[in-house]
Amino acid sequence: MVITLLLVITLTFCMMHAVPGGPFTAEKALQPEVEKALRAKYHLDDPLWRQYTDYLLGILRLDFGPSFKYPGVTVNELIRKGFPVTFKAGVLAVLLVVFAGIPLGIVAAVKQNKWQDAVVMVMATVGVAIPSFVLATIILYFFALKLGWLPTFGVTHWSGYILPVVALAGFWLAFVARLTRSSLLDVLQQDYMVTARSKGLYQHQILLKHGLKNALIPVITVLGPVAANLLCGSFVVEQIFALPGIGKYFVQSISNRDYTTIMGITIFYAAFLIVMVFIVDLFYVFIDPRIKFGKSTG
Amino acid sequence: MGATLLEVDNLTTSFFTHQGEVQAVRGVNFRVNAGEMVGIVGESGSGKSVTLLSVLQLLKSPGKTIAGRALFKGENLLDKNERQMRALRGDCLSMIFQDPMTSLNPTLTIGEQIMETLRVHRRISRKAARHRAVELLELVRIPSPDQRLNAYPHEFSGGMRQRVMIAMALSCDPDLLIADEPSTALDVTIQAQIILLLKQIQRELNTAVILITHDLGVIAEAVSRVIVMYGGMIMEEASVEDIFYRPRHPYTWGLLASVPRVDVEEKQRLSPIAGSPPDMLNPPAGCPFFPRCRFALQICRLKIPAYFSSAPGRRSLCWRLHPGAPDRNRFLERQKNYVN
Ligand SMILES: Nc1ncnc2c1ncn2[C@@H]1O[C@H](COP(=O)(O)OP(=O)(O)OP(=O)(O)O)[C@@H](O)[C@H]1O
Ligand SMILES: [Mg+2]
Repeated sequence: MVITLLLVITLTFCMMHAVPGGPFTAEKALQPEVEKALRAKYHLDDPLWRQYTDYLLGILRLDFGPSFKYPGVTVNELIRKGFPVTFKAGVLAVLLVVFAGIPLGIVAAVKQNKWQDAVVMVMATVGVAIPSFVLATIILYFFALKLGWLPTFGVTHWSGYILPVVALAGFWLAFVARLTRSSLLDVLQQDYMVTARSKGLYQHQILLKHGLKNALIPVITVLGPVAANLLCGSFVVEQIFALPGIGKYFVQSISNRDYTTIMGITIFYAAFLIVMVFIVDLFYVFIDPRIKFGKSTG
Repeated sequence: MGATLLEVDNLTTSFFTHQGEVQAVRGVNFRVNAGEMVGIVGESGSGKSVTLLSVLQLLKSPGKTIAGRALFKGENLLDKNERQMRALRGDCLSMIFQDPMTSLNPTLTIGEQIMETLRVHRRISRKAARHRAVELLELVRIPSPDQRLNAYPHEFSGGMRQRVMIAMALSCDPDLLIADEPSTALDVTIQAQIILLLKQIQRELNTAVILITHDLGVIAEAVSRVIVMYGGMIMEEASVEDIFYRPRHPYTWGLLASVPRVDVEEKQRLSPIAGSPPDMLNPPAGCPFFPRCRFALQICRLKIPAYFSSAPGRRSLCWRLHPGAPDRNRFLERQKNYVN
């Protein structure tokens, strides 16, 4: 984990310093003295290895340094301001994916080739096919503009979260519903399901205890990265609904060549993703006894 | 032997697939007495599994039993609804399957898999169920059963898993245990152990056992009666001695010729039956075996044979045994070529 993270840090650091142009290249050139002063302030004239070790030490203290573009604001502050909004929307989206996607998949599998299955599959196929910004625009248009049921932007009221969360979750909800369906259909064909029936178990035991537990293994595998993805938010969706999340700062920092912000947010995301994957691995051991720490047997 | 436990009468089951109707079982009759061990033998695809899955109503769609009765203790199982069948399965009637590697649930401990059967039928406490599960593992001779209860199927070898399956099937003291090729997927030495275990269980617990196999040799010492199936029909039924020493059906001769024999001195060539089993989508109009039969007559192609019986409890589905069949005695002489 630590090694992965170090790699990410080094890579972003190198890439940032490899791109031509700097934070202070602008259309209107700065006066040489000013630029010199700024470069000195942010230690941009130090040798590269020096900058790198300084940066690493900063990260060890969980300090991503100052933003180049917002004077007096640290990257930590930007993250602290933006992340809660992003995170809240992300958690809601994950919950939506789990508690709507999985049940829909189950219904579709149990009612295979019946109308319930058809409805779920059509919705899921559409959901997977539509990019999130299109979905975001469509639901924004209908529910906020046409019907006026929900606010168009901002999160001053909880209802402001509904549309962005749906837009965020849409694709993954459809994806998880499809995956749950196909996985459960596959499990229902397994020999041990016939054994379960031959033992005289009740239908719900057969379906949930024997079927679903096995069917969820692949679903949980994708849920980890999905959760990480959703919790990191979507820059596009945040832009469309004007959510004051972390994505806004990230997009701005890129166009501004705001090195420290870009690196800070990237590294923060990477760390977050690694932690999420680790949590999923723990879950995995819990649900699939064939997997043990350090070794896997077939 | 006890009274009739299971009586199957004119059982007919088909799979309605896109290609058409696959006639897997075509009018099968047989009975099993309480406490008896019966073998059902036949090549792959002859309808053995489907017959017994039909009896337990465990067929998956598109399989459907379209005619017949299956009287278990006098009650027709085929008239029962899913709720009534559920209560019987695993309690009075249980089944074990061919592949012990895939028949146990990989994500539940074997203790849980044994105990859940007990608890669904017997409504006993977890503790009592656990106690019983240990007893059952002892019964099937799994060492240190107490610890093994917490193990998962992947921690067991194939033979041990099959023992677990047997323990599971025995948990509620069934009257009838159906073992569908319980040893086919295992090594030869383990095969013999599993069959022996089933034999001991049948003796000690007085459980009737139907042992399905495609290898006559495996069951020779375990069963008292053998039913030979082919093309969804029963070709021959007789006591195990008659099947081995006085078989009368050419298909049984073929099966015997393909069994390795320890009692034969010279290294015998195994000769599998030439040709392949019939396509049950379009089964032959006459005897299902006639395309592969060296003794086929004209009538065999046209008309399904009748059963001919030479003694009570034995019958053979073959036109050659008709009292008026040509060269009947020469035909019967041929059986000597197949026994020792
Ligand atoms: N799900 C299914 N769909 C269509 N046909 C099937 C299905 N299951 C079985 N059959 C057909 O039913 C016939 C009998 O199959 P069955 O499984 O009873 O054979 P078996 O005697 O048990 O053979 P094996 O030794 O391979 O287990 C075969 O012709 C097979 O093709
Ligand atoms: Mg079979």
